[in-house]
Amino acid sequence: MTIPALRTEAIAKSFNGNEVLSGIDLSIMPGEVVCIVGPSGSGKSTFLRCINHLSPATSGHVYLNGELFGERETAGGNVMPLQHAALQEQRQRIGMVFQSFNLWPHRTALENVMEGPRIVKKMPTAEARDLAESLLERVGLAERKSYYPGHLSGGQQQRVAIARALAMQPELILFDEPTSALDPELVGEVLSVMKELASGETTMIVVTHEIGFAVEVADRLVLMDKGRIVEDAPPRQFIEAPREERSRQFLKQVLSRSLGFSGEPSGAILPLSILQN
Amino acid sequence: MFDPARLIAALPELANGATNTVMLTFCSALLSWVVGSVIVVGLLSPVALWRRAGRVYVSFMRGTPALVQLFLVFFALPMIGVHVPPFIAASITLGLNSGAYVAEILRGALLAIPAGQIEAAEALGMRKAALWRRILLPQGIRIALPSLTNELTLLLKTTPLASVVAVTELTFAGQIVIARTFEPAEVLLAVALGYIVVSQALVLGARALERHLAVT
Amino acid sequence: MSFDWALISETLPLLAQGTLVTLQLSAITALAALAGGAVLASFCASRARPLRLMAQIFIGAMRGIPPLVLVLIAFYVLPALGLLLDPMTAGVVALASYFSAYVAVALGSAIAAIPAGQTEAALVIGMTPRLRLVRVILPQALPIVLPVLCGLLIGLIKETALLSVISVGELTFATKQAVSRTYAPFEVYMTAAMFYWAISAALEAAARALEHRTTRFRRNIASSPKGRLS
Repeated sequence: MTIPALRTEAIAKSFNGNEVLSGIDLSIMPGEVVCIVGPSGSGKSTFLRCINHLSPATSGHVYLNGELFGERETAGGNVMPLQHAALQEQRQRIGMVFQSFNLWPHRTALENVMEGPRIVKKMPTAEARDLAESLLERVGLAERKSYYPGHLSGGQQQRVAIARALAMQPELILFDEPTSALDPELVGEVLSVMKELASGETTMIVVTHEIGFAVEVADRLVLMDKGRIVEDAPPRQFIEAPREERSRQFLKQVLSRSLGFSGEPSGAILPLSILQN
Repeated sequence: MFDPARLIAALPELANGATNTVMLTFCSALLSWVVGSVIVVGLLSPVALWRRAGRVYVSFMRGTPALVQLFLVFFALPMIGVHVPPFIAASITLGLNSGAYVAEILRGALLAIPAGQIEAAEALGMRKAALWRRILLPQGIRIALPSLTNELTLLLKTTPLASVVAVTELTFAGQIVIARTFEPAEVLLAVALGYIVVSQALVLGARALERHLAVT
Repeated sequence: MSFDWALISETLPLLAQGTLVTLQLSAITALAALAGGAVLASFCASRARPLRLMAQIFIGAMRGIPPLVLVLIAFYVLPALGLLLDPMTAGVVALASYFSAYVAVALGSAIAAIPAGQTEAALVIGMTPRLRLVRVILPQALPIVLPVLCGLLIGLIKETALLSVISVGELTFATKQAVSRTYAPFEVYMTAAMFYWAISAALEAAARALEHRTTRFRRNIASSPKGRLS
């Protein structure tokens, strides 16, 4: 039996007494793509931030390829938070792509991608440059490499951010609503880069509102609501025969929205063929 | 040794000095607002000569020590036949000095008013005077108020300079007491505390005014 | 009024000497204020409450007390506490303390102006605190804080004039001496003002040039000398 690339065990999180996450158990196998969907405020993003300890869980544990992440076991069998330096060492193994890109504005696209390998991993500059150039090529931005982020579109910035995450050669990449801050016409270019990644070996957890994308690329679709996992199933099964009433409800809402009954058209057009089958 | 009784005995003298400090701040501030308003008209003038004159004034006032400016005013006034008490000379200096900073603050505030505000007024057919009175000034003052408060506390902290021309404001009063009692530590501490109290009072007053003027 | 140019040229060597002292004093004070401000700013950001509180009280006091009063305190009170300082050192201590508070506030607000996402992006690739400071925070905070620091430096140079009150031989004190020799106060003070003005103007021009350099990334794409094939 293979070890999951990531396993979370009873992750719970409270902010000032308000429980945002109540015991999330999730396992992702190497190469698997899991899309987490759910209404806003359901705790999806908080869960991602608990995984890499950007906002440490109140209780519960994270295992990266079988190894305790962000914590250590003491001789007495207790589990303690890791020292910051050791945590930073481990964080190199999990990539993250943010909703607001968070590219460093004072560095060019190429420098943003090179920064991790060169400065954190101490890779020789020439090697880091080759790696960064090939990654920018992969996300279709080879000719934009000497641009500062301020002179790139949102979609281009997010593609650079994906290349930056890839440059650390992480065991897993977390995507925190990567297209939510983008103008509708720029969503497609980012999703197609992610689609290309998903078809490869990359292990991905994607928090997204793009149901169409999720259905198309995910190996598993996870619905979160009120800090719990409601449904966790392959997309086809999720769409055709959801186990939970809450899932049916959610699908109905999303469907009405994506068919344009309310507001502007979104990029989240559900492949109708799946529903009609 | 420290003798609280002697410090207490000196308190009326220090309080008198503090009153003069407040008066000096007040007079200088009034002058600085007038000077600042005049200079900002120059800075924003369509006439290049006025703009240049405004910039030179601001640059000189901000580029030279207030102490040197004080001596300049102090010695220049008699040269042109004006004989005034040191208090007035100090007020003039501090007002001229602070006026340069006030002008810059007002300029920033006026330029921060969105162009749409002016366009909307012009679309209504407002005349220039009405535009200034009803749109630019009320909004500009609200934007400028926090910076003007800050400038006022800085002005307060410049007033001790008047002590070098023998104005009996708080610092000079303190020095007189020190010369008599030889207790610099206690007296200077009391003086410092006096300035902190006055500046806190100024800030609280300005906050109240800001709340009063706040639109939302 | 008529300027007596011969009189002025006579005082020039004295004023030049004073200017030199002013510049030296300002340089020492600026370095001390910068170091003190950095320490204060780190105290303000510290997790230890007593350190934070101490720094905040110090900053509040320095911003509330007039610099001249601080100079007098350093001159009169420190010797009473057993710290025998010559006037110049006392003056440097006073002005450096005063300006360190402003430096700390400037540093703090520049760092606070950097979005949290910038640090998070550095955290998730595993940067250590030192790397985060050097590679992410400072390069973005410096362009914000440099113009403020230049403004403070100009302010500092002007405030060194206060040290004439405790007989430090800087430019304003030299001017006083020149006045007592020539009995032409207005002309001599005007000359001194020109000296100060020239220093301030030069610094302001330097600050603008520096700001232009450090914010290059906001304006155009990098002119990468090598590796750009297109």
